[in-house]
Amino acid sequence: MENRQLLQKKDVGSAPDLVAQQTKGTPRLLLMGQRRSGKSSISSVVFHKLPPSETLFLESTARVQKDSLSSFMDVQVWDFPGQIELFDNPNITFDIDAIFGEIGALIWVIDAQDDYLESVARLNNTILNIQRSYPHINIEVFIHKVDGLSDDYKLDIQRDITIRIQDELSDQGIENAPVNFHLTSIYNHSIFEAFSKVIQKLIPRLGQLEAMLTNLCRTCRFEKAYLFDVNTKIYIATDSTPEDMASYEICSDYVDVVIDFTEVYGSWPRTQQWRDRLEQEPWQQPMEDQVACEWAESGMVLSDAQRPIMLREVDRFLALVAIMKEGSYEKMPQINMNVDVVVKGLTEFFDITKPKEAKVLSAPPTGPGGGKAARAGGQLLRS
Amino acid sequence: MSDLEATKAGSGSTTDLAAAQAAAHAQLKKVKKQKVLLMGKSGSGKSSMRSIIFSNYLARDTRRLGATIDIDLSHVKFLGNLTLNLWDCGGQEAFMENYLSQQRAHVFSNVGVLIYVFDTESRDVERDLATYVNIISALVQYSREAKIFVLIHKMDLIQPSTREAVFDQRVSVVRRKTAEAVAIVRKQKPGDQQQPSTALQSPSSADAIPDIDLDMQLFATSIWDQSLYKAWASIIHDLVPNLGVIETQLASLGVAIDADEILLFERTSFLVVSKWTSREGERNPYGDRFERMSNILKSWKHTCSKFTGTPRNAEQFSDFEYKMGPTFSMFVTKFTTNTYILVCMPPGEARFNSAKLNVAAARPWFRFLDGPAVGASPSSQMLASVGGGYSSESGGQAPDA
Amino acid sequence: MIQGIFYARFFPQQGTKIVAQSPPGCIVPVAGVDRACLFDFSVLQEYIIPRKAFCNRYITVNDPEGKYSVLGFPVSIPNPRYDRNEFIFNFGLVVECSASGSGSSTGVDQVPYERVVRRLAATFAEMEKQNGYLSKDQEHRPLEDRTDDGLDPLQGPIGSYRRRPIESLLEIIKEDLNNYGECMIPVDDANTINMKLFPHHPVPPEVKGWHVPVAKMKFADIVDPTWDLTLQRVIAHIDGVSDVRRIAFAADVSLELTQLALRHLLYYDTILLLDIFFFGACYAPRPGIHDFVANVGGMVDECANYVCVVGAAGGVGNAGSQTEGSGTRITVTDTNSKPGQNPADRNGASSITNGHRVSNYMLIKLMTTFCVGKTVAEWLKGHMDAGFDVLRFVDVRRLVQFGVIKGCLYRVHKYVVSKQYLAALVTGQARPLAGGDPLQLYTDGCHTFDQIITEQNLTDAEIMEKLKSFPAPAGDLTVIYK
Repeated sequence: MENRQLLQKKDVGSAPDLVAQQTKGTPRLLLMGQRRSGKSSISSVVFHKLPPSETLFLESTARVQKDSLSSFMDVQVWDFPGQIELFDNPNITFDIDAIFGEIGALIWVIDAQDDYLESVARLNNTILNIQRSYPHINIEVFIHKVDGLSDDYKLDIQRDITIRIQDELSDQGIENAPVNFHLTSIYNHSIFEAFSKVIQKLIPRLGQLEAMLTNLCRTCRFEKAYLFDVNTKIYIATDSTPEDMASYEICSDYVDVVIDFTEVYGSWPRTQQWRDRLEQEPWQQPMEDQVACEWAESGMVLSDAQRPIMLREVDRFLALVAIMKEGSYEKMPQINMNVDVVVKGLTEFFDITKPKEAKVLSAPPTGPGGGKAARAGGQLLRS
Repeated sequence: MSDLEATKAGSGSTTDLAAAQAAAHAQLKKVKKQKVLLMGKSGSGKSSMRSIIFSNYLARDTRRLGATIDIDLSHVKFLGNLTLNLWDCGGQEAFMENYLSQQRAHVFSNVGVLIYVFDTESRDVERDLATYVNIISALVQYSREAKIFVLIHKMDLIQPSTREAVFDQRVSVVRRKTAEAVAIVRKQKPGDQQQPSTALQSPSSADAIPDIDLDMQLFATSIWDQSLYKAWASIIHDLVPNLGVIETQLASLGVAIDADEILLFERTSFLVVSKWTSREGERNPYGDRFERMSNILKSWKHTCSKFTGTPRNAEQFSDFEYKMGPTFSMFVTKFTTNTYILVCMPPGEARFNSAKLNVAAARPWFRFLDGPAVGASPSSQMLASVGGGYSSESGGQAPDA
Repeated sequence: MIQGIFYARFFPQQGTKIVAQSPPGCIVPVAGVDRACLFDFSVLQEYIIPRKAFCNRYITVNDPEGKYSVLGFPVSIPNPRYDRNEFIFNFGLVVECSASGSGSSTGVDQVPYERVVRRLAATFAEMEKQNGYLSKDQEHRPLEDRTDDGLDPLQGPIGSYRRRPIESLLEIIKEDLNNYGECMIPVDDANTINMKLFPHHPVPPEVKGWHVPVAKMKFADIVDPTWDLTLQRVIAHIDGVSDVRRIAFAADVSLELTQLALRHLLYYDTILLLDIFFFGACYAPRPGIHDFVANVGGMVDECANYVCVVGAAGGVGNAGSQTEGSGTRITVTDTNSKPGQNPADRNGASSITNGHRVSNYMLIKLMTTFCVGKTVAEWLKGHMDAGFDVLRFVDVRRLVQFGVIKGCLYRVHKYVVSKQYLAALVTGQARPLAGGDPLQLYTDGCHTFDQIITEQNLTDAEIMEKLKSFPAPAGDLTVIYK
């Protein structure tokens, strides 16, 4: 894929190499589950922007696949082949500590359209094995491929799986293990939403982030505000109003639209001649001064009840997207000022909370600009 | 603020616009009805593309469509003064035979455009081509003036690396067959001095074929990407009446507001009706940007309809603006009743605001797009100056109808 | 007569095709059969497999020459498992056109066939939904594509599932329906097609307590002990004089059941409903009286045969008053010789009555002198006074009955209206006076005196008497003749 530049992808030779590839201080997401349960599809769709329809042709993963995602915070995603048996493997002994030592979350993918009993049994086994040594690992169960299933059926499956896991764990004397369940599908936004929840748990001081957004919403009369990672369309924070899928979807698609426009019209360096003409009479100002805001900002008025949506770039990776209440479009200048303040706050927030060593690792990606993802970060494009 | 003289640069072109406007009125009265035949083998994707373009289906929704029985007639009001009579013809063999025999005159007379769809997946290419030859013969017999668009469809199923080669190969075959079809009709007409066999003798070179009568274009398409919009925009482009007027006025507007690119979209299909690009805009490396914009806006529209719970075909947004820091600014806005306009322009707050006002002021000049009955009667002003608000003195008067 | 029967299907590649037909060659030509098709299939095919909006409903279409009607019920089964998401088929019948659309006269009544078509569609649609009966069999290809290389399913490999080919199924259906009016054909282990051509009758009107049923045929000849017991008891009391309530009472059957039984008879057009004959009732001429005066079709002679008093026993005279005892017996036979129904009987009767036949002039005079506001009694008195002893020669009840049945006369009904009661109804304050008169309920102008008489068991005079003592201001009550 052309648009994977941001995600430095490494194929690890074989499982024991894992240790050698250790990177300190980077939160890690581990994708595990049975073969063909959809792990690679998930990471391709979420981290590589592969159209869901094309995941049919993905071959099954034979080796551990590592994606490192450098964004507002650097996350490593390890895609574990389903056939590898980590525990009780007679042939290879894995360095369990190397694998789970710095893990942020274990994502276990279960194919809801398949017989899931074996997968649940393996998951139980895995939880039992790691729970003692690493009790703080979040275990996120993605009940996957739920598109096409009826709502009732989805909930039935979720209930069944939840009970099976909790019963087994409490039989083994483990209560209140941090196990969460998500119904997901790559054919809609549910997978992004689930990932958002997973990532949010890794963000230090998420509460303050949310408080800032909540405050903004109250001041500017926003219905809902999201802080997006533009590359993955994962939202890392939202205000405290109840979440609904619909507003997430439209905001996420709005990010897409803006990225698409940026790609088409922001792609070529403008000529000096063009620039000169625009800076001469009657403007008499350097281009930079003619612009009100150096970051990307956008707004749209929907025909339905005149509800506007606004987007404001925060930094290279993040954008603030909000759905406003009807009729507030006229107050845009005032809102923009408020948003500016919050954006400034957000930027400071990330400066403070960013782990120090991460700065070394997150060298800006180089290479020829070409893909959607690369262009999404606004600054790259400034001529 | 230093943007008081913001629009002076453009004010000189007012008179041009007025002239163009006057010229336009001469041609406005005509309402054009165009019969568009959509043909091709069964399952080649005719109804799917029709649903996507005109009924705002998502590509994946078309899987649920059933087969078209006989001919599905639909009247698509495309802009105010152009109505498309779309004949979606079921491609089953029995129907095809019927069109060619019983309904021959009914189907093939007064055709404005024939869109013939080939399925790249088809196993029996020879048979498809034989049907194609029959259809073209019938078309030439009854509607000699008709334009022909051949879509090589479902290109997504071909390996990306070989797509171009496959398309080129199909193009040459189709051109050869078209010539054969023409030759057949000629043969049936004694007194035509053209030798019927010339086409058959030089099958390999497309250029040598004497298909002088036929206005034919070929496109590689797929419902899964914007190639579909490219093909349909070309089809529509030739049908839009007063195209010259639209283009002149769009150009004047573009110069006046300092834009880099202006696109005019039809409201429901989001097909590009007309476009204008500045010299700087021509340097844009994306040659496919027009159909891309159609695709983006169309899928955005779909997202909105899901969010608001309004019908797919309803209007979804009225205004969009995007300022990409010091790189560029753009906006998409409801223009006339039947159109949206997209303007891409250099950055700058003042420039942006005046452009928006000017586009709003230019609306009456394009009102003829909404229908033949409407003249540009209410006088309104073009090119208001920005700093002092929206004042009327500096604008030219729109001519009354 | 079913001229042809066929099974058509929509194929995603070929389009609409006939898969099976009977007789061979009736819809589309087949090799080896030299027979002209009934109509041009290519012209009608768009109605046989129509576009979606017309599917799953009963469709009839006439061929352009107007000779045949095609009755079909195109079925569309949407399901993603089919190529193009849909399975569309139609089992159709070809019958002669019904003339001029009005149906009855020369053409075939299509209504019975509609049920057949609907049944075929429903059965095969269900079988297709259950196990893909129509879609999975390889026999089901368009006729012209089939090669005769021993594909007969009945001779398939041993042990494989064999079933009757649809073509032969259609043939049996056609033959059985044409010859016996019904068919019963096992299709596979679980399904049987049972169909019968039922004559179509409209839903009969409601039977009221004050109606008088008159038999149109001799029930005594056709009743057998297997009939419904209630029906048998009710039939025994149908005499052309007794009203429904009286029949119910006499037969010791509840009123509801009696009404149901009579409706049943009405459905099969074996009885007529008239109203009770009173000498106090009014009758008036209808336009049909012109035919009577002109003696169209010997109407007056027919009347003479029916109404003239039998034999010299002139004393019997007034049959209308005979309602019990031996009279009942006589009236039963009387009614069975009703006009136009039983010529043999009538001829027999006429031979007896010839001697006393009243002249046509006199009959017409009698018939035309009925008018609004004159009761039968007054009418009778008028003629008696004029010197014609009506009762000696004519059975008055029969004369009136004849007039009503033949459409020469209509009954002028009597209603009573209370302004006060109507006003109370409008304002929603109507309530029966406590311990008051039950008659009040009838004073809204919607109830005939016949109804009051039967339901309250009062005579006309008694009702009038009671109304006079009604606790209402003077002028409140009005009696209306309509």
